[in-house]
Amino acid sequence: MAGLDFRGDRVALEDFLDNYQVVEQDDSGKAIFKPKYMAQLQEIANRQRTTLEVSLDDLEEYSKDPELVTRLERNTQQYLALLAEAADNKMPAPSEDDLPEDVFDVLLDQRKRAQELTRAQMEVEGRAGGPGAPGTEGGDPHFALPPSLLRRYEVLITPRSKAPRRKLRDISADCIGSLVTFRGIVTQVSDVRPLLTVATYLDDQTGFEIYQEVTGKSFNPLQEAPEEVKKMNGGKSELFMQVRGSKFVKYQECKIQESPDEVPQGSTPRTLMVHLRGSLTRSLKAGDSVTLSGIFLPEPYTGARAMLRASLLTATYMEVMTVRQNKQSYQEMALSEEQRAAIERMTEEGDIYSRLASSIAPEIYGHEDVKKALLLAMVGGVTKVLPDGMKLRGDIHACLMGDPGVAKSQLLRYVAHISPRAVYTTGKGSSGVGLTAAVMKDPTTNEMVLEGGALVMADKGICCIDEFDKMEEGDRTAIHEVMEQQTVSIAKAGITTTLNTRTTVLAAANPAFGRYDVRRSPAENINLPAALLSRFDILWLILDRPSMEQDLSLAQHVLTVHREGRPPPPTGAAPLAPEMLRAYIAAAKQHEPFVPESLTDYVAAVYAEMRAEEAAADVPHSYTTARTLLSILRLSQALARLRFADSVEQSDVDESLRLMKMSKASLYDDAGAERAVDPISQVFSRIRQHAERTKRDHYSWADLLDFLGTSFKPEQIRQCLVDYASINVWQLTAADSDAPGIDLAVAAA
Amino acid sequence: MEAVRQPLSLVRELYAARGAPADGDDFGVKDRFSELLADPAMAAQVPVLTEDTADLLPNQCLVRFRGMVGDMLNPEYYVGELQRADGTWATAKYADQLDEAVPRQDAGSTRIAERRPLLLVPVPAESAWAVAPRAEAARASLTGITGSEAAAASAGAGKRQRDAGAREAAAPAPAGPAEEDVSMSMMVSDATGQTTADDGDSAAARARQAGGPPPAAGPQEASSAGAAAPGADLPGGCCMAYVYDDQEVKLNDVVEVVGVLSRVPELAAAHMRQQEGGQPSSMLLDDILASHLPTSKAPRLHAILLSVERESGAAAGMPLAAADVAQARTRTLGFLSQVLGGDNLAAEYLLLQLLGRVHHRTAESAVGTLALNLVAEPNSPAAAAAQQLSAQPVQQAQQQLSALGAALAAALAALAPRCLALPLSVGALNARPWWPRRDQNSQRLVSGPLQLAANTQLVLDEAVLAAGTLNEVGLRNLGALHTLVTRQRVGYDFEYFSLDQPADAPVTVLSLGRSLLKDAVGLALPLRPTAPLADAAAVQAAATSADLPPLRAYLAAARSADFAIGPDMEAFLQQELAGARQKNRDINERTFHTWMNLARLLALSHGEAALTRERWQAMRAMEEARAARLAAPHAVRA
Repeated sequence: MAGLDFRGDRVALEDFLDNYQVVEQDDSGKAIFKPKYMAQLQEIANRQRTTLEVSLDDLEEYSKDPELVTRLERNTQQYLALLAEAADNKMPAPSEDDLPEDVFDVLLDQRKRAQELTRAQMEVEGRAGGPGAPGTEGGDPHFALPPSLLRRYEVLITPRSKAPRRKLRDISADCIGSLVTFRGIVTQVSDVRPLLTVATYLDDQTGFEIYQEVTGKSFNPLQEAPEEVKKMNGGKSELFMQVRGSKFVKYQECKIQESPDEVPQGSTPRTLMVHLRGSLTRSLKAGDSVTLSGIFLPEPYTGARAMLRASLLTATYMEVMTVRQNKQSYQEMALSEEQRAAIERMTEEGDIYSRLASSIAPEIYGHEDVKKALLLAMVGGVTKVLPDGMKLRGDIHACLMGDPGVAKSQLLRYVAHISPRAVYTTGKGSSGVGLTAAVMKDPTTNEMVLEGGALVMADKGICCIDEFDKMEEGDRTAIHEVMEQQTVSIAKAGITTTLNTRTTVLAAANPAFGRYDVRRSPAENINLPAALLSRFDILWLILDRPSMEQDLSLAQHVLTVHREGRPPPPTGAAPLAPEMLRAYIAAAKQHEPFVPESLTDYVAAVYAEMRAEEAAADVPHSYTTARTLLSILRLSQALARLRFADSVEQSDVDESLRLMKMSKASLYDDAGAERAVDPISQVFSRIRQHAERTKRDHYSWADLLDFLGTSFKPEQIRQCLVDYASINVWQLTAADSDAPGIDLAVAAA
Repeated sequence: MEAVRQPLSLVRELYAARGAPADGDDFGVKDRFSELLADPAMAAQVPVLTEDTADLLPNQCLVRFRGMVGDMLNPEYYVGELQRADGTWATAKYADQLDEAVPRQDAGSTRIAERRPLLLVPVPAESAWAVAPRAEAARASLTGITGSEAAAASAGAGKRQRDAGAREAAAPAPAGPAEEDVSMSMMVSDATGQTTADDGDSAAARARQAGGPPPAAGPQEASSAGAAAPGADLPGGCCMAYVYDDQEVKLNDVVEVVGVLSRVPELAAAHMRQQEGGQPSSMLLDDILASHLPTSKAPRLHAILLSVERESGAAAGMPLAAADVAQARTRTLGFLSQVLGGDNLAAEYLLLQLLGRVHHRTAESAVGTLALNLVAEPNSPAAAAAQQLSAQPVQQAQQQLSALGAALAAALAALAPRCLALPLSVGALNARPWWPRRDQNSQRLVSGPLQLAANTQLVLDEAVLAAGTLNEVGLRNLGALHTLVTRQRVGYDFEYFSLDQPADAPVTVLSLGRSLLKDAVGLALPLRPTAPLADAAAVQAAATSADLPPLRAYLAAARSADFAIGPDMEAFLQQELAGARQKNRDINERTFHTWMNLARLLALSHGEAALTRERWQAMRAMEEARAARLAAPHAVRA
């Protein structure tokens, strides 16, 4: 019964290979149908490829029998053989004539000729019924040419894209024989060894070639030729294995360890043995994080494994079908459907900016604005290469400076933890390589090799440097180049080179005297050279100032932890999981917002204002330079990215200015003042500021949303409009609608 | 009795009664055995498997084993059920071997089933008072199984004892024939039995020589001596338990298993072949061998019943009367104060240390334990005691504790069920990794001193620290200690990533000045002894003469008692904390956590289930006394 099924399925698979077509667009945009698998088979026949890659998505789409794919997934090994048979039957003749002949061809040719010769001889001798006669050829498996010897390709199956991915831990006895997809880390890789699949023997008396197919890891070599051959030679037989005529495949064993995020609390990670064959060998390196699909198979016991029979044990392994390296960087990250949907939902809920920010290190209490700045640093601005070859970096460098014990390091650690490519290090640097790069002598080869330091390792990622102020002098000079040019130049031990370090630098440093001394000037407190400081887009001072209110909430926080064993739930929306945060940032990074022409005047005005303010102050707290201008633009671009917008708007510029101001806020005694101001007054002051800068006298609802929407909720803006209209500061237009506007000119007049 | 002697026949009876393939169903085995063992008389007959009794027990008998889950290995697939030629089904559950032929697997007449191997190790750092009664019970339980054939058994035991003596001398012992006396259905020839015993015994002896007498204190060092021997890194008295259901077990849990003991001598033979390197090996085979240790090294145990020893289990059942608590508290304080040379404040802190338990965990920290740093100030009698090396004989210089450290460890060990003392010297730190890590060759976790069961008191003796250079291992050891102290977690090294496992070990550091771990250890307390400090021998003498069991019961009860901070206290505490910080900016979140922990433990030590203002004030007074000591160095007064 089962045999019949298989035959039917083979016919179905042949039909699939023959007729499955993919739609492709040709140059003129017309849809053309191309037979996908016949094309592959043709290439195989022409010896341009060695694998037949069958996608189960295609089969599911094509097959009229919905059960076929399910059966294939349950009993994959068997169906692989069926697919190979089907492919053999459908194999077209090579379309090119001048195929180079390889050793294998010569051997095959000789084999065929020898067989024909013997057959002819036997017929002449009138022993038509002898071995190898057409009627009995299939009778002895050792005698016929096994199809696997003739095959020049291997069949690989790609699982359905919506097939569930199992955790390594969930692969259990019921998966035996079926196709499984799972994730893990490669911990051990064996050498690539040849594995015998068809053994060929030569009978030295008669010249017959005998074949033996090997399916497992080991086999018992044939000692004697089959009876028929022996008979021809008077019962004598001695077989010699022909290494050249046998077929070997490349074969490799690897060990896969469970991913750390899939290991339940209180367990050790499990491991799984996988086998790679043929073209898949060498596709895994130790340390890779990979997603594999393969067939979970029991290992048949032979030879040395007889010990296992005694203990009733069945060893299992995974025969790998596809290998996919898990993507690490944002650029390579593919969002899943659910993630897209979740991001969609979040944007609809609004206030995404604060929510994302508060999801950074949720267990660290407060510091909303610092977290916002860190979020922007993670998102980054847009890197631009000017026509003359000059590069403007998009990475936002941030430095947190503050009193000991204000959770700087935890914030940094968290950022390093959730970023897909990040290096956490301290200025002191534990390894001899340091931050940039070093030339080392390889102990085995005795050659000089270049070893990248933390900054090089974090290329296209984030480098978190704690204890920035305690950095070695050599690294400190190198970091100037790293932060602006984003390269590091090496000229050591005869090696001269430039390495890319396109990283965002997040630094944490302590003030010069351990604690920030408000009686001294900022320059004295911040013991970093101005040249280095100006390279940070944002320098955040976190001072530990006595504030009863803050102390009380800190006490409350500690109390809740001790009473209930968990930090108090943050006010507002629940923090997002790190994966979600990562997905959102990846999505945001796909946008490349530009600064529109209309905003340039505004930004210029803002910059002039800042320069003037600084000149007026006795003790300037900041260094406003052209770099500051670039920083504002970068921060604004990051904010626009968070909105998934393709152009920067005025509200982005305003918010980045606010962050810049807040970064120094803890220096002033009225630090908390702005936060204490109610949102309505804040909205008002923002509108007033804006009007002063742009000399506008009319705002529509859309305008207001444009520049306030990032920081405030629509209800707050609406409330503000109504409140101030009632005291005649301005007049409402379209007051009854959901979208009121305001007219300032009337009020002023 | 039959169920104890031949549990497998009972299992098979139950299976036959079912009449059909079970397909993963537990055909009433667990119910039947828990029913049987509910009877105390029956339960007492189940022999206890320990390192000493392992060789005396017959193969495939029912045994009881207690140990810590030291490692969890990959699940195993085995032929769970098979169809005989006559069409009836047989089960292979709870067994390693069958005495009937197993049909070919592809014939559709076998069912593959799954089981989880757990490597059980003796609970590390158990105190002598907790171990002794168990060892006694283990010996007593043997009479049950061997009673009916007393003559044979005693003869066997006699032989065993001689063997044990021979083993100590690291001579291969002829163990094979003795096995025959007691084995009932072993299917092994004398020849293989012989090799098994030789192989395993020498490995055990090597481990023993390297490890020294304290249980599980230093078996890791065996790696140098017997690297090649399979399982040489394991302490004696391990056991490989196979769990057949999906009951939840966590790493480092202390579990008690009742199951079928199984010896498979072929395994040792396979290991021998492997070591001789006769054949090119595959990773798969290596893997299987690594997870199947010779049974002489780790007996195999097929678990029928498994229970996890929960903390609050035994002691919580008996609340103590208020008068008893007060008396026990005073006596405990007196005992500790005697050890510390009459320093009552230090004794008070040390008492709280004994009650520490992680009751909550957040992502970043653990709540409930203290980290105490006892500082022996220069030129004080305490320093003199600390600088003196311990008089106790130790196997290796690296195990050397200072006299005060040894006394402290002895005192804590006399009261707490588990106590581990580690010398924090440059040599000891550099010698080997203290964190557990997976060996990629054997695929097993190589334990380190920091792999501990919950509720283990950890004493770090920094007084033996001298100038020297820490290597990479030493630095990582310090790092691991730091995480343990601050977060009560230990990072287990799995080569490509490190996985944090929760720990619950209150840490007491003894140092001569400021501790190396000063960033992590929040409570520094200079010792101010008024009387000569006790040494370890004196402490042990005091412990044996004093009536300590009530004190232990009191500590266990107080430790596991429930505790709450009432809502009425919340506002008060909030004001207290914030107010203190307003006065002194050096008081920060860490201090808040320390105070909350101290207050909780202080209330618990008085047998109270809720925090009161009085206890809070008492805690503040203690803290002020401590601050005063820190502010006024001893040298000035002397």
